[in-house]
Amino acid sequence: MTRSPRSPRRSILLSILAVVAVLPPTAHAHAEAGTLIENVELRTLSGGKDRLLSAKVKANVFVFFRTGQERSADALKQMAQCEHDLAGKSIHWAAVVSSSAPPDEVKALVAQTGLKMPVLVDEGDVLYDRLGIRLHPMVGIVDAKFKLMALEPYRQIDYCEVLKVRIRMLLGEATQADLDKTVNPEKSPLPGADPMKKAMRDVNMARRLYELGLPEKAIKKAQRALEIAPVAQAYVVMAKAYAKLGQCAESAQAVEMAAKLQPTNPDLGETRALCAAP
Amino acid sequence: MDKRLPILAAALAAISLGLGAQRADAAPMKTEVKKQALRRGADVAPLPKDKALHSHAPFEGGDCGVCHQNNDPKNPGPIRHASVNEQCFECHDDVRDVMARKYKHVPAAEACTDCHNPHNSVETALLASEMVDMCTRCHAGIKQQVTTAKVRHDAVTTGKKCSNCHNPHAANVEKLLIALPFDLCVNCHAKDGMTTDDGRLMTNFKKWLDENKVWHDPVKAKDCSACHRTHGGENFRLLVAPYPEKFYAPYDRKLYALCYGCHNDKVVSEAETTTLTGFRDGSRNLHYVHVNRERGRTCRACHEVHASKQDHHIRDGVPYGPKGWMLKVGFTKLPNGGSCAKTCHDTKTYNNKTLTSAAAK
Repeated sequence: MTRSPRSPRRSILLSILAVVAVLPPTAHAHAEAGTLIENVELRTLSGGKDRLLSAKVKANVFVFFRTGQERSADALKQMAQCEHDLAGKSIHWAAVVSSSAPPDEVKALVAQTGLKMPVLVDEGDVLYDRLGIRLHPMVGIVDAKFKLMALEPYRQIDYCEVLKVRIRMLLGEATQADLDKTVNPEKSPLPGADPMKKAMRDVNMARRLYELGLPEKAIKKAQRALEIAPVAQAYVVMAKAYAKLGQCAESAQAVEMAAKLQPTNPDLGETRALCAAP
Repeated sequence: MDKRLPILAAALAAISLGLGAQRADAAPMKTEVKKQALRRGADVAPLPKDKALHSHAPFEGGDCGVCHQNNDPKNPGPIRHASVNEQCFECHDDVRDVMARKYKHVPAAEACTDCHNPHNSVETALLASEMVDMCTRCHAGIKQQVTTAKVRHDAVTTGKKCSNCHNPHAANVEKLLIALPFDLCVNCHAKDGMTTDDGRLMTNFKKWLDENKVWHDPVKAKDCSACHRTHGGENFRLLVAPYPEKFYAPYDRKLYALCYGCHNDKVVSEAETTTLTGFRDGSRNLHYVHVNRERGRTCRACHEVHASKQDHHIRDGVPYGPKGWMLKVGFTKLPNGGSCAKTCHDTKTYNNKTLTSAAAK
């Protein structure tokens, strides 16, 4: 590719960059899980210095963010909630912002989101580059031996939950199964989606009609339940209602249908006894 | 290195400070939900029978005693249980299980009658009023999206309406979603031939994602709502922020606000960088080179935003000519960078490991 003419000033800068850039190994895709993360010391927003990680804790968590970005603002709010929810546990927290971000804006954002963790300043985005991070916000979760467990980009749904489970895995409080369940939660169908459960509504109403002394209506309702799904309990209620009407043959037939569908149904004996009684 | 880093940092900081004042001006990604206490108690009185289209079975049968203390339509008395929900759960015990899920809808937890008329209704499921109207009485922010949107989403107003995607009782997913956004979206967007309101063909995402295994992070996270405003929006394809509709578009940061919602706009605005992108030849930022021109390339000229077959989400081909013939993008990832075979331009290689390789290849 062709090189455009450059000013002497730019050439000097590029010479400096050239020397610096070849020294640290750079990554150009996200750092993979298992990568060892260098525990760099960075300037803090409050004027001191702090390290990205700590070997004294079970879990290290850092979040790369930037100012003037809605997702970063939301991520920091949710991180503040995570920080609160996991307070007192063996976790080292750090937020990381580019040195190009105006400090006043960073301070305002941090104050607005309620974040308690120290804010480290990434001079010239060097750490951002080393980790191959190409977007904000990004959360890194690292163990006590500085091994990267995950880089989590922002997500709108269940963000804090996913982060907390990952952190809890390092704390020994959650398992891979918990993570799988959080990342792929069980579907939440609308009531009535399961025909067996839907049929049970009619069975329940049939039972109530039977209790009200309306056995004919109870039978009709139980029959409606059976049109939806073959639930043993519908036959049980039907058998009781027939017994109440003195129709013992129909009652016996209904009990047998219930027994066929659910041999262990606890109401079978009692229901049979209704017609057997003198 | 210690002496050089501050110089580098200062230099980069100086460059980027000038750009720091630039801010994405996209509409807010999350809409405020103004929950108003309007639905605390639907009108539970029965509608005149000639007006109702759906009746609750006990009411229809005159069996008031199923729910009330007296089985007398003229004097039913109070309900038999201490709370409305306990009364309903006597028959609807499956809803008790639903309400045990992690995320609960407050009105549903308070009283089923916040949304349902227990006697009869003109609406299915005995809703006290039309669903979108009822939900958006409290969810005013969503109402604004639905009613004023330039681009509408049929999923909100057809079929089961709000409950195409949400379970208004309780759910295992945040925002009372029935499943993660991806599972909901791909469930419908899995057909060939679906079109937008203006007749444009829509992607069969199930097929596309099956055939292209390098997925964009939001897709991996099943988070379609990271980029799409599912209730309706101002941008084409329901995008949460502006993005050029046409393949070629002059570079204006505001037009690319969608991508910069996550990605750093400096990846395109900085002519030189050693840290912001791997797509550089030495320190020459090749994103900058491609985008900052009169017929600037949009992000999707090279990147396939949902899923691709090539690394870095590089698209397989670009549409060419009036019939949209696909011109292959022959990208090859190399240990020190990559190369693009002759398609849009002659074969070119870039090296991002040193700063001495910026000469033409």
